[in-house]
Amino acid sequence: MRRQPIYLVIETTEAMWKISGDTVTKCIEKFLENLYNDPFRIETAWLSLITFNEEVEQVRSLAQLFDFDIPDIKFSGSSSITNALVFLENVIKQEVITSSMQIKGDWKPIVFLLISDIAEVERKEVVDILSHFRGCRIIICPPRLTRTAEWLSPVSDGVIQLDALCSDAINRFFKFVSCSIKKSSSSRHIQDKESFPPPPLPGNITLVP
Amino acid sequence: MIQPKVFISFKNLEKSGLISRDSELAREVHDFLTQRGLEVFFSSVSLERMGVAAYKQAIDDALDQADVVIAVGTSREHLMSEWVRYEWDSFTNDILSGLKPKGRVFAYVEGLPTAELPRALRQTQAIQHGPYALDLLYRFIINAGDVPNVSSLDTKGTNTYVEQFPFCATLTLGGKDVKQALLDNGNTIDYMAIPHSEVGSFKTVHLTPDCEYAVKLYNKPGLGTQLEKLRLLAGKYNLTIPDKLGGCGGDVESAEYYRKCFSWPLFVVVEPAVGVVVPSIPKQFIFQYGRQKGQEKVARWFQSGKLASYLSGDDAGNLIGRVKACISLARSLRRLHQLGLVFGDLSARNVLVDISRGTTLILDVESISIPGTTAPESLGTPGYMAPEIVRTENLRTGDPAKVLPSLHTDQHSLAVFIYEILFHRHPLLGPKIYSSCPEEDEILSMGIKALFIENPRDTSNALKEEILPCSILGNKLNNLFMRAFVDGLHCPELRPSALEWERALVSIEQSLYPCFNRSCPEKWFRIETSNKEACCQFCSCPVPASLPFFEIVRRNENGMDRNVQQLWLYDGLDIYDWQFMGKYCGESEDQTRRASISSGSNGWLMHFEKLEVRQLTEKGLVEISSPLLLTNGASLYLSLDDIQIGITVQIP
Repeated sequence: MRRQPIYLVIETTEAMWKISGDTVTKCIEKFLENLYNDPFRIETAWLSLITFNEEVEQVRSLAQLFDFDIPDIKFSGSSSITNALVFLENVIKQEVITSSMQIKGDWKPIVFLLISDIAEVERKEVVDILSHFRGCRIIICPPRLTRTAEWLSPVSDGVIQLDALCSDAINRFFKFVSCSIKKSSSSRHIQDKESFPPPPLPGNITLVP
Repeated sequence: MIQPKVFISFKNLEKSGLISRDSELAREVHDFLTQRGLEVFFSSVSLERMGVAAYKQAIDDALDQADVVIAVGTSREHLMSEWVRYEWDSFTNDILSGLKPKGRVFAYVEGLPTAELPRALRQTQAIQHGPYALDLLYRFIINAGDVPNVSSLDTKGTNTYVEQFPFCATLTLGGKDVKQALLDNGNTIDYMAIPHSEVGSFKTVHLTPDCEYAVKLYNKPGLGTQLEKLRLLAGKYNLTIPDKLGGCGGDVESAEYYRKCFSWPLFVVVEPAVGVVVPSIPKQFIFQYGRQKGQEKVARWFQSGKLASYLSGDDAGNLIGRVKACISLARSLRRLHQLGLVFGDLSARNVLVDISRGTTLILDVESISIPGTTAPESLGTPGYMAPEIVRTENLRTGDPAKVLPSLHTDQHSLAVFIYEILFHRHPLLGPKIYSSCPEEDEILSMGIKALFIENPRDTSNALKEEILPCSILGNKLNNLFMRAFVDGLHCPELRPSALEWERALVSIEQSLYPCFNRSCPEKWFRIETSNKEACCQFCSCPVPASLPFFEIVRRNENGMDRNVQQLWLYDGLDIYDWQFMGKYCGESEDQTRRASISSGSNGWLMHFEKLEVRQLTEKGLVEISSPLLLTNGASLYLSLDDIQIGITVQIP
């Protein structure tokens, strides 16, 4: 059975969050509980968690849901999104099995980037790096009231904006993530067209066109 | 079927001494329900008949026996009058205190807004008198079983009401935000404003405040065309309602049987959105323990050994539970097909399985298509869609070449479901690669290039690891799998029907015997009379050369039945009429246990009730009492429905 790799890339700078790292950990816990209840996902979904501030760390490498233990998350320092993206690209190269006529590889990885605003000077570089991500679905989730959404939209498969980085919004974000990865096992409506992001947007999350 | 006993509570006389309007309404309710076979206690009628002058004792006795109380009223004052209040209030207390865990109270009112009902009655399902209201009441009553009861309700909190109760308004009832839905028969039903679940982007599921029903609302435009179909499904094509009551469920027993197999729409909702009302999921289809506690037992949990290993204890099930679940599903689909209905989206996601009882519950019945009425709404679920549907999935809607769900595509979905649940693997998911692009590979391997992993003529998709082949459960089932996944995979008309699956599975169930190895993964094995090197097919545990059995012969008015049947005996075996009589066990067979077998230090015992068993002894035929110690060679005789049954006990 093919694996569905999911990469959660979360910025852990102090400036970005209005909540504690414990709260984010609890939200991840809730998100996993939700997935445990879905037998269709348990078998296929593989999850990895990468956090970044000045440092980038893969706190959990790609693992099956039941083997995924939830790490403690701490916030500090300032952001280095470009480092994080380069790191992510390498991790994906190492962990994701590419399909060929000889190997039944993984499904396209889905990357959820939970980031704050990106400094003007970094934008071009970020767009450049993102445009190199082939064979991935990238969903970018910047907080509302930034213009990041507008210019990241062309280089990603979807941008969703959270209204505020409170625990409620993070829970909704994870609900969105779990709906996104449940899609493939649900009924095909007669007029379905494959589109992404597919699921309904829980309240106060906006899909940027 | 055990019908609920109903007590009608109402105020008989006005202050003026005249017969009240409440009394007229109550009589209508009484007449309607008794015509439908329910036992109804109606004080003015029943007390006259009973000749009881002292009222209270008779009322108390009737309330003690009742399963359902209907409080009928036209004003709050009448419902709160001394006797009426005593009746519904004391019954509600019995429910809340656990004396009547399955008891239900309904309010049947005229000209009395829900908001004005006495507090405890507001928590119940209140039905406004009007067109179809009695029908609605009747359906609520017959569906009031097996579901969580009112005692689980949170009755605390403030109650605030608005004058009007428009369909978009939310009001707080017993601490819960409640909205109201308008049914197409003019009645209304309350539901909790916060959805219980959201399915896709276009369906929300809400529970009623008493948690007995789910209100499914579609938020999708263009449902006008589907409305007629929903009406037909809830009415004329409702196979959970007997024919004589306007459904198509056949007789009362058959309708009752299928009521437990389908989450069938009871009513159609027209406001605030198009939708349906269905009964809540019965408790046995919800995990009660472990990590999954509170979640529905979707079939997928039982289709993979790995997933089943995450479940606790008995929840994981064993072979006989899975075989029984397949019988239940095949039978349900057979019934749909007999009526010309197409399910269209049979998958492990919309079938719930109670593996310990071996029963199934089909959800999303409203997606059934009625050929000639509406086009199907769904193409199916990946993994269960027939190859011809996958192949043409990307064609535009309306293209004549686009294959839509039909009886044959249902047959493919059923075969996949049965194969997965019995063998814990997908019949088409093998190692063969058709494209380096995973999405394209999936479309090809499930569509035009689909190849059975156990195809005997083309082994290019055979699994590399060693597996127990599907022939392990006997030739009958193996032949059906070959027809479904070899001959009929790309020739839909060659696929076995649901009836063929049902019959083959019933015969497998009857050949299963508990394994002697306590740690056997399947706990049961199939007895093969011709197998000389007898051992369990799943753990290779040796089986004694011969096992105890009954050799049964029958004689009816036409003479001796030549088929001598063997009934294998094991500790805990229950025996039913149909087994003694050699009948096929269909849905209408009496499921009352006639006898049971136990094995102890003294030997094998047969326990029986309401069954006259005679034994041939030196003194001739002697009537014997239960329990009977079975001895090798003993000859037993009994008769059922004019059939003489002779049993020879074979205990090696």
